[in-house]
Amino acid sequence: MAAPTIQTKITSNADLLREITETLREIGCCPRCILRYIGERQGDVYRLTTQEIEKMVESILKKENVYPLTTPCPVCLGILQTYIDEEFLQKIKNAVEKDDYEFKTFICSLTIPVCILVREHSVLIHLQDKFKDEYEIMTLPDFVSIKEAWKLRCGPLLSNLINVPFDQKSMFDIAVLFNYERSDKECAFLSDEKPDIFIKRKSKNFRNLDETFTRNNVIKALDSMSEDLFKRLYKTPPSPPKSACNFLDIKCSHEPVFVAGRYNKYSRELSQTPWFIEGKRKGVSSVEEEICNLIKKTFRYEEGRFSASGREDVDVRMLGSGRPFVVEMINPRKITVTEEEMILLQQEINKNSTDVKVQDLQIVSKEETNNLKEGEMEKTKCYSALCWAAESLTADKLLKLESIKDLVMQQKTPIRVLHRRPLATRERTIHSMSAKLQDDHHFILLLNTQAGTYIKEFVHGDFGRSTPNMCTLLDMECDILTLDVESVELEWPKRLENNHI
Amino acid sequence: METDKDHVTNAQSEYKTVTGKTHLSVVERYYKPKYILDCQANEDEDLCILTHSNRICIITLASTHPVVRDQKTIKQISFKVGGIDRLNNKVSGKGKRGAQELNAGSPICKIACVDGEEFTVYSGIKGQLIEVNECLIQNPNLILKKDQETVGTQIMSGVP
Repeated sequence: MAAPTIQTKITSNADLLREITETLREIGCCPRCILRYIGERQGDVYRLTTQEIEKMVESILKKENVYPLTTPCPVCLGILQTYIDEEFLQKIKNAVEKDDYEFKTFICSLTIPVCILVREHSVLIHLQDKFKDEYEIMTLPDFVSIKEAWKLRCGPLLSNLINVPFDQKSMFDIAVLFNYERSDKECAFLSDEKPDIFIKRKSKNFRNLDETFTRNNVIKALDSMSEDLFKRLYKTPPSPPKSACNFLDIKCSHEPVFVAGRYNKYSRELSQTPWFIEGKRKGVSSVEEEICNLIKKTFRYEEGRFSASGREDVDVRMLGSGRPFVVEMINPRKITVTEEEMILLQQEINKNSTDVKVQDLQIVSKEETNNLKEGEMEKTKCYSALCWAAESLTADKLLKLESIKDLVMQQKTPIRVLHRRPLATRERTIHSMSAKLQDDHHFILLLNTQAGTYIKEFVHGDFGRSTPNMCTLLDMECDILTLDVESVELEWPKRLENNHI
Repeated sequence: METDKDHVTNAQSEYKTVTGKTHLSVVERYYKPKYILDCQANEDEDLCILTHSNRICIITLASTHPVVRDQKTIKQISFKVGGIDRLNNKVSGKGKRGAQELNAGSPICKIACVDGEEFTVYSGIKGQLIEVNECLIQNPNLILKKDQETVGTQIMSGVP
């Protein structure tokens, strides 16, 4: 392959190009930053070694032995100089290996000091001053950015080093963080001049409370500042830095991976999720913990977010083919398992818990998890409840219940949950029901209902707040003693063979 | 809940056995009854405040209240009391914003009996009104059912 040659749209005049390059050299720019500012956009050029690029720039300058530079570049603060060599890449490799992630592709992101934005702005104004015709219409996005230049060179090298392909859409990110001690000081003039842009946000959700100078704020402030004002407040061209910026850290992270399945619950004392009342723990465990503890061991994620297609009360059992659930695993170290490993994991969960059993355990895609919440409100559920009636019952009387189809009920928010939900009247449908007499006062009620129906309230009426209810249907006081969910009619995640509970 | 201790007795034991039952009733399972005797210094006008573990309260007439004790026939129950219409109470959101504020002495409703006697039912506790039992307007005699037997009781809930 022939070595790429410089191509620039800035000027076709070799003398002028030399003059521009000389200007950039004078302010101390590194060869890669010079290429960026003279409008070189070919990726192949940036992929060359530092020595090759140095030669290239020297040939434009028609000088020799200008490079290597011994001072840090006033624009990239060393990111395209020392932090681009193989020694540094080796450091990244070691950090990635230490974290012990499983990944198939990778992407790399750089966090560079914010003051570089100001410095880049300053260089551009300097060029516009000296070479009006060539630079007047140029803005910073017209040039190859520092991050792009770094990735063009380091992406393929790093890929070779860790032996994994680079992919723009990769789930695995290697974040390289740089900081420059004087960054905030250099930006200070912006907040002095445009204080309204830098008002600290008070929102609790806002993570970086300490950061006054964010990328967006600084860009906004620079855009709104006239050239003259900028020149008065900041040096054009930028002054040489006292030192290069510091390499702060390498942080690896993997996008969430999802594990789905169905669970059964055989206890009337186990809640679905950890239960806290005023900060105090209630109950020893939960369905979530029984399932997640072992999944976490396998996938070694940082944080698990458990969600299920609906929920049952602590004293309600979940029988039949189980309730679909999904665990969103934040930053997992392991992302694939074989079918055998998955079955083994499932068996381990089931062996470990007497009250919770899982089936159909599998990895699902992020898109597929939408099925869970969409299905939550649409799908019907089947229940069986042991009920009590105040007056003596007959099988005949119960038989009447079977003729009731699609009974529409008005349910006010049950008192038992009213403290944490708004007061509202909701319409819910009991699609069908049947009852089996147990003794004079007891019967088993089988129900098929719309999702979101409060079953306990349908039976006892909640002080007449759910109507019609069992009391009004049978015209006697009724109560519910135990409740089981028999099925959640959601065909997701897909059923797996070979996975008996 | 801020209530005067002298006026409160926890009489849960009274509820333990109800004939024909092998289990505790809904009220017994989920609510603690607290009694306010001679509410607002009116002799025998006792209230039973059913307190859920989530701090929502249901204000009911105790079985010793003259209306229930004497099984009076009710002509009308009105929620227009003291210049306020309790039926206008509207709450919104989890925090039940916009609720009418209640103090121990806030009147909730008026019971007019066929025999000409009238009773005013007071809140007895401090809290916010979530709802009133509107069934009582159509069917005022529901209030005569024993307070623990669910359906007919007068419902007022507050978060004290």
